[in-house]
Amino acid sequence: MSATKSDVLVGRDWLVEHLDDPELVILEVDERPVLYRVGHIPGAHCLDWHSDLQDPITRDIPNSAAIQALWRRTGVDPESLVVLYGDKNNWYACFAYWLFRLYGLRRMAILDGGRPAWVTGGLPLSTTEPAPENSEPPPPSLDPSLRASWRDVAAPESDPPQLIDVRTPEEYRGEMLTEPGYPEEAAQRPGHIPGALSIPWDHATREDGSFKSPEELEALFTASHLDRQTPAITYCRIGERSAHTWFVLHELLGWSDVRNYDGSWTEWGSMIAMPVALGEAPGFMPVTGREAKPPH
Amino acid sequence: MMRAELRRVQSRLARIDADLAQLERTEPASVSRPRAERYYQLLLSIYEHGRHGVDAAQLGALGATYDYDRRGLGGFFAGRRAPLRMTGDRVRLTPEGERLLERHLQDQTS
Repeated sequence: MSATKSDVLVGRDWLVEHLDDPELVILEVDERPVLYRVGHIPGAHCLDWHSDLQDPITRDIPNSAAIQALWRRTGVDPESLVVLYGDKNNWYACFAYWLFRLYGLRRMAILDGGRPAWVTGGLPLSTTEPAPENSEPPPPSLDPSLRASWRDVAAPESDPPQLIDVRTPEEYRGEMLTEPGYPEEAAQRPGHIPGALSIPWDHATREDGSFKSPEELEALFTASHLDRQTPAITYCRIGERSAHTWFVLHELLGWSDVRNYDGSWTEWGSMIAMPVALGEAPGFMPVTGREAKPPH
Repeated sequence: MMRAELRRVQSRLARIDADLAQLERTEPASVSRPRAERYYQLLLSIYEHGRHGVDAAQLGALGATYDYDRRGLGGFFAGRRAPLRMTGDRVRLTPEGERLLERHLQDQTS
């Protein structure tokens, strides 16, 4: 077992001491971006996941030009140390981390415990939005090796990956399409991808939203008979909770081949003729392996 | 005969129109009644504790911060549109609570 990579996780005390570091770029990413206007860590820029972390037209991640513009606005360059944090236990902060990693950014960390760690610690909040930074980052290149498509799940080119469904057990079993409060994220069919194991994302966190210890995290996944040597793919409903679990496996625990399937259940559960499993059991993918073909 | 029927319909429509006008005069456009600022501050404080919410002791302490009597907090859990719910030993916002909070914050910060 490898130790947790401590350089991808920072605590609030560390952040307090480094707020004035010129190389530091702090980015807040909330499910509810209005929170940023209520108050944010001094100097932090806001990333709106609706408009900054998605393509405005296609259901896809932003293209290279959009990411470059976003980094220019927020002062990110290849030498920056970027600290991301947000509400909802860092769901969207982890999604931004994963997205920026796809585009080659190397020096990033998540604030352990997210926005609640700062707010409940009674630390100062600012309502002043920093001016655009206008840095000059080079156009980033997309490295797709950390991203899975439905084809990678349905018909992988090599051995079938370990599939990890991080949604609620009720969603996994097919008893509900979404958690209450997210009707816009409902797929056409409930259930899970055949063969996927159910490991809800929040099993990796404590009640205060911070990540569990490396030993606890490793035990969480090995107890489900997952193997760090075998490729793994995480998914949820739209790819943000699965980015959280991707962060745990790939960044904190150092599993080498982990991808986030950001199409996730809203894609899989809405496409025609995709295999679906219901109930507690993972089930079996009817079509896998080198010879397999996608349904259409 | 048809003209008489038409007059009856017109008369009923005029009555309905008058009733609607009366309703519009006596009820505000919004169906949500205004709530005190502390109401939203309590919801925000619970939201800011993260996805796992708070336990009962924390809820009591937060409530006291905003001058809510511990027993008075029960109102936050009452009704189909309650803003809070207890899951296990944790108190979290319901989707309705998150919607209320979001709308309030949008109003306050826009």
